[in-house]
Amino acid sequence: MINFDANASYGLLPEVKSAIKKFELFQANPSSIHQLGQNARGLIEEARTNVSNLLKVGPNQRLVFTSGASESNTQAIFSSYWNDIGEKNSANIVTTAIEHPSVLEAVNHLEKLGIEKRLVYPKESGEIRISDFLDQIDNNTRLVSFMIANNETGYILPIEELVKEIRGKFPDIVIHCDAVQALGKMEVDYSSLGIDLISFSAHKIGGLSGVGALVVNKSIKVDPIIYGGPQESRYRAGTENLLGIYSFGLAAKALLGKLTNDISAMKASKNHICKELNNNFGNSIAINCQGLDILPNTISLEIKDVFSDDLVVALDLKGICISSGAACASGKPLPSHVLLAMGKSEEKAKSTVRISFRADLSDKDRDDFLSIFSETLTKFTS
Amino acid sequence: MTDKIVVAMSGGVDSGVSALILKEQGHDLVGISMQVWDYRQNGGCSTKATCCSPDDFTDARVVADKIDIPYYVFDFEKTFRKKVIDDFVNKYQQGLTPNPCIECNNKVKFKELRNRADKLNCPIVATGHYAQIEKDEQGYHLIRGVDSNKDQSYFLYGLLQNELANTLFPVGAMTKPEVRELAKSYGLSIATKPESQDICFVSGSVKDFIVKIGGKGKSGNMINAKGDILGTHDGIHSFTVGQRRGLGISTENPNYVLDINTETNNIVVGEKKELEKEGYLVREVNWIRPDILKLNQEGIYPIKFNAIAQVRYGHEGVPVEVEIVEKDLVKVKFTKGWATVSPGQASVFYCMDNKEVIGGGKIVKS
Repeated sequence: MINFDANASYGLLPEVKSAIKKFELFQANPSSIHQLGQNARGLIEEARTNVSNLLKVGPNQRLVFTSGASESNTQAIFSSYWNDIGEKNSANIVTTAIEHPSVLEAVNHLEKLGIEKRLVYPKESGEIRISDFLDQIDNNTRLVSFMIANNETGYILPIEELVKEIRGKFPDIVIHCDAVQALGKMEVDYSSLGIDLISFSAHKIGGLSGVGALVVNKSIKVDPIIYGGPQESRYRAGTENLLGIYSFGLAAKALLGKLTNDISAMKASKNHICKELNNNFGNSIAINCQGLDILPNTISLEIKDVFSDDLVVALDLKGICISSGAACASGKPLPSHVLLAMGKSEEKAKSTVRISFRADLSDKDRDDFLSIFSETLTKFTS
Repeated sequence: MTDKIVVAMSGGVDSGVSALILKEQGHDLVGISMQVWDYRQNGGCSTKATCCSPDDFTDARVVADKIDIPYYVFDFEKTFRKKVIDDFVNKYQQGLTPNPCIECNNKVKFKELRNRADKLNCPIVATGHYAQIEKDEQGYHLIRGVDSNKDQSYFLYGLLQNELANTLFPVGAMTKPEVRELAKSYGLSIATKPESQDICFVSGSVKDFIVKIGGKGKSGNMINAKGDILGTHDGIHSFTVGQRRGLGISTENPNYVLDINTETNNIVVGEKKELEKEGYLVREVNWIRPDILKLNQEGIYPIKFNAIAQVRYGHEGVPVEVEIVEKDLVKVKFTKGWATVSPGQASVFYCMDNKEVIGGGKIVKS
């Protein structure tokens, strides 16, 4: 199978593959007193160092390992800044309509508790305007949450300016960023952005699924959502996912040395693929968010009169993994909320596929993909 | 057969075992679940619903993974809503008693699903129905499933010859206990999964469902054959001809619904013996048995034959004389005994051995 669905799961890096064979390393409880426990603790902290190096976690920040970015996002959104809501009853949260469900559903839950939800919608082009964002924020805004790059279209939000503008007007608002898709695909200096909470996921950069991180600004109070022992500086109870966390560390370490090269390689592959697709199907395809900053590995393709699920299935049967949007746990295909938020019709949303690939995509896999994709699409559109 | 096969998988044991059998026979398979109804959006997931929930798709996916076939969920909600749900609600509001499983087979499973399967280069569709298809020099024959408790040929009378030619029912020659046993022997966790009950998309009562989707009914009177008012009702959608329970009136003898009058909005009730009729009429017919199909194609009417008529799912059948009066009108006369017929339900005709489906159609008001 050729992975053109890297935004769903990147696939393990070679470093991670060889490490997980050393299963004898991963058998102890990192909190145990004995030496095996101490060794396990060593692995966790080695991983923390590796991931912190990649993210340039500063002295006033804490890297908390979680079970994944959905947990990180949920924890970032459910926290103590809402504790006095009963008295004031006028707090609001501002986020975008194109966020991951783990943000949107957490916000929906807050809404049920009486907190006002304010959504920023993208323009038809896919762009999120800074002015639209600022219009939604006022003195009652407690938390602002936005993604750095969208998982479906690859659109990169103007985060530096956004943070600067928000901070300039409302210095005390807590800012959370979902950096899941940005990590490994663009250069971001997470530590100097001035963001309070940032979510990451290991399996989007070649680690195992089931592990993520939340980088927390130590000066704001963030409550755990999982209670128990004092692990993760009391931000997150429970025996650590030793193997998962270790894999995150290895992937981060590998990425630190190759990020610049990875991005160049992705850009080259994307240019080639887009050029070929345009040459072959220029009249029947449209690339979403064109003209905006887009992740170098992501192509959101609207195809005229083709039902994307049929195309995804037909390609899968020929050994090519692509996606008709974000991966969904139920397996049930739904029109993308991101494309709908951009004002596209349900029909158009259901005619869109996402092509996303790894940095180490070989020329052979790229060309095999192009020929199988073209052959299949020709059949569908003829 | 080397053609690729799409096997419709609900997450239940019958379709799971169907996939298993075909895989063991060496076929190239693609498993597909049809998402037809969203319980979250339409009034919560009931414990009774046994398909179309994420857990059912997971069950199907686990089977697909175990037997190593690709598996996908396709969205059929729009088609299902239009062709099955809306039809179901409309028919009840018209005082009829529809059978949604028949519409689903005719218009969704063996039409839409087949169209989608064609796109995947899969000309054959397999399902977990308890029915059998046989072929001879005349054409294809639809036969009851071996397990008389589970036989589902009643729901399949709408299949055409060219559809039968491209359809497989792998569990049709097995009994349910054999199917469960086979699932168990392969370690499939669905081996002991409970049966799906009644209508898959209705989680409470049919009456409540009709009101929820179609709105409140118009109230009217419960009357007897003489026209005396015995009570009132809150909509004709709550009634089926032959119904005894839930009429809300008490008289000396038990009352049955004799007629649903859509013009006056009255429900006519009476004693059981008043339900007895000499026969009934059928329209929207489809003939499967090749000899009868051929006679119809020749178009020399009337065509007469004796048959066993099954007038609802689970009915044991009653001997009748069938007279095809014209292309889409069939007169049915009881020859020994009689059965209560509810307009809207299907009447399926079987050969006198009560095994082979000759054809069938919808019972209409006479």
